[in-house]
Amino acid sequence: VNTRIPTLHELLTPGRHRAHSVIADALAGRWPPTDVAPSEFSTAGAGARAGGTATSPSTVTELRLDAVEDRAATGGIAAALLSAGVACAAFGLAVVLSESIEALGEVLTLSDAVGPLSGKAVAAVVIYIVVWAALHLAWRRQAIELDGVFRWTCALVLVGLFTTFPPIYGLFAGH
Amino acid sequence: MFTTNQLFLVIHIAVGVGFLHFFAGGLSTFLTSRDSRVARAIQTSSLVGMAALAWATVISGTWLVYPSYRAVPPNGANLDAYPKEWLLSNESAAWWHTFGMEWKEHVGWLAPFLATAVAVTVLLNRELVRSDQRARRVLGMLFVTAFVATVIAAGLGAAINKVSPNDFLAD
Repeated sequence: VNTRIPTLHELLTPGRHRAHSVIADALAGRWPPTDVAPSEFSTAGAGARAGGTATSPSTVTELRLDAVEDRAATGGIAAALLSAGVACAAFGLAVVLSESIEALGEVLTLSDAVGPLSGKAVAAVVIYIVVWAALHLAWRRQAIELDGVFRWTCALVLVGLFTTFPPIYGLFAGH
Repeated sequence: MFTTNQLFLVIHIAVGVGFLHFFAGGLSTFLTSRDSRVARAIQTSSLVGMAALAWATVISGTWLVYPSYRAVPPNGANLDAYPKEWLLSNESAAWWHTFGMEWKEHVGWLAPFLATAVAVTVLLNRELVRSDQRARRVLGMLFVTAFVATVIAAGLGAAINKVSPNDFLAD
């Protein structure tokens, strides 16, 4: 029987999920926890424990809290990666459109000294911030499949790389 | 000591060089899954530093240095102080603007988005990056892409500075 109180570090460090279930136990009036092996305060992840034989109420609470934490972390990552990909593609698209449509190039000239690059950069940054904030708010508590996010991010970055290469956007612009 | 344009160029080059140095520290932490307090500190400082300096590099380049490069000369002015116009007026050197500067000014802007995404991902879930080889591979790829984009932009900038006269720095 372990009655050790977790250290502040164990309580605050993400990934040390057992400490979170200890908090839940405490809030539910189950303190000190009686089913905690000292090793469970280690850095073992949720996946490893999920495959075990845990059946106590405390462990069930732990798994539920683990799941919430894992999902939140995945959603935040997905939002950060995908928004960067969208920003790269948006910047590339702005380059192509600015070179192809003269009027748009003038609209994007926010600074006479800098020229259309000022508008392309500001547009991409605004899109980046808006998309990142929207995705983060939408996904922060959801389970997001990272395989798809990785693929989309790489594809969007490639779009950005191709469309910022002068011979490529020259093809679209006809020069 | 410095003219205004020289100071702007020095700032731009300094933050760019800082960015490239932070890359070296960050890359080392992507090549291994070993974890330690020192490795975590190096990874955090490298990735956050690289992201911050990527933004500083493109912002200083776009709003401090680029305006002098693309300034339009008054009639009859000596083009030695107007690099873009000087390049375009020389058939053999025009390529340095139509391809070199055009690519530099655009590809460099991809780096801050990628560097920020990598830094935020690692800060949000370092354990995933350490334990998931696929995640580490993708993040490493984005990280290297940000670096390569910056190297292309820096290399072209240095070459254009070498090819064209840069009397504008005296202002």
